[in-house]
Amino acid sequence: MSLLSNKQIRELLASSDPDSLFVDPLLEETQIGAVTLDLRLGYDFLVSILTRKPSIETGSNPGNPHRAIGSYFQETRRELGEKFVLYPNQIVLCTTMEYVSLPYNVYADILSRSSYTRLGVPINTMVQPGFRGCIPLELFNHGNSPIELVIGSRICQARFFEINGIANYIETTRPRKYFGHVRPIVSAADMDCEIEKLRYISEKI
Amino acid sequence: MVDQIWTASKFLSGSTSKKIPYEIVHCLKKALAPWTQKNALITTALTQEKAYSFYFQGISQEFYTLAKACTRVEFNSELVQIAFPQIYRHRPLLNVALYHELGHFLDVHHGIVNQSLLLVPSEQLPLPGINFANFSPEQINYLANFHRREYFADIFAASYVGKAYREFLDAFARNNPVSTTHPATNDRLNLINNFLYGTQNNILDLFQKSLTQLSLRQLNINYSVPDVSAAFDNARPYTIRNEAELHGIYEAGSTYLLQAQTNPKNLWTKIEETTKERIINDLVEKSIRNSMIVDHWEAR
Repeated sequence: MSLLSNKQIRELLASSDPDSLFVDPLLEETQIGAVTLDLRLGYDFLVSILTRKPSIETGSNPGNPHRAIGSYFQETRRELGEKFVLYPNQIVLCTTMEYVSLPYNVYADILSRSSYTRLGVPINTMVQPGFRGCIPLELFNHGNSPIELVIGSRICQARFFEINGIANYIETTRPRKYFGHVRPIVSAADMDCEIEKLRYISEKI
Repeated sequence: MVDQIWTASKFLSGSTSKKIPYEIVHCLKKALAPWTQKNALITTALTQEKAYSFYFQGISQEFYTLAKACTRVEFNSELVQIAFPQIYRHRPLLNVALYHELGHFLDVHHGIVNQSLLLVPSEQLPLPGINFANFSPEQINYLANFHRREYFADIFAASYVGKAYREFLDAFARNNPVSTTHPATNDRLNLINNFLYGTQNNILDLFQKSLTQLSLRQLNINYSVPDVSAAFDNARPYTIRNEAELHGIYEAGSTYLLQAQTNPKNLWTKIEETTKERIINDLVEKSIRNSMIVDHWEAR
């Protein structure tokens, strides 16, 4: 596994191969760094809200349907250049402004840029080979003050790693929950395949 | 006047709720620009009503005059108020009906159907599905007025989004019979086909003459359908190259979705039916939004 350099990232972006790296819109060439590619804050947000229900359930029970996870979040949209206020201790789901398509032999780490980490907004996620979509970002303000974020600002950076062989992101036997999305979606933890089995075990014990 | 202000505030609050589909509003603004010299502010309300509840809420010209006289408030923009179902806010391919509603705005704004009635009175232009012999002169005027309004809005929508609008109308109002306010769906589809394929039609000719008399542009094909297959085959958004493609991507997306549902290829063979519909709508939305972003970025 090797970290892609500036030259390799540029070559992949310039390639017309359908299995190449695709980032759209790439507004400035300067987004490509020595071993990273800067990505911008998107315009769709899901903001966590308090409800009268004491907790979010990640384990469903067929006899007692749980409240949908989406109902704990409120949707809001912005336009390029507008601001979004990130309050302390609030989870906000958003995406990169860029739509990204990864080759089947490249995975990416997404990390906050240092300027935003210093404000108390760390980002740390990974994207699997073959991914298509706007990269989901989970924002959390660890500081004491609300932070005004600007839509379209370079908030995070991607590091690309070439792996040996290829990985099939789309498999008919294992549908992907987060494929081809252009806006944030809430956690689908309650749809994980092991949840039902774990409930069964719990009932038998 | 109070009613008009109440309605306007409802639509304005809808537009500032930060949930609106900026993408379709952007396309509507582009479509509107060459048709009016005045500032027009498109406001949208997301309704919780039935799935086909698209409508245009007009504000009469008298309102602006009266408001200025009574309150000294002068509006620097004219409101274009369009409502559509909230459940479709992320389904651009189902939002093409808004072009039809924009057609209603322009009709009211310029008095296009009124001009057509001056050129050719109600009873002198036969309308499909209507036998004027069965109606009183008042009823004939009513029918002609409403039916011509619908036909104009249909052709206006088809002039920007072509078959995407025709397919939408066919799907949402299939085989609807004629009513006092709307022509039968099949008659509307026939007129749209005549327009799209350049077949002579008396109703269409009358609108073109009316537009000429009002010194407005003609109803022409204002879109070009891009080939999105290379991008969409790979689940990537298409890079829109010009304004004609901005409108044309609706037809391209509709056609592509139909193909992915009936004869899937490549990765679409591995994706569930409902997911296909969601992803292709998202690809259309993202293609439009990327075009907006690049336009804004390069304008600086």
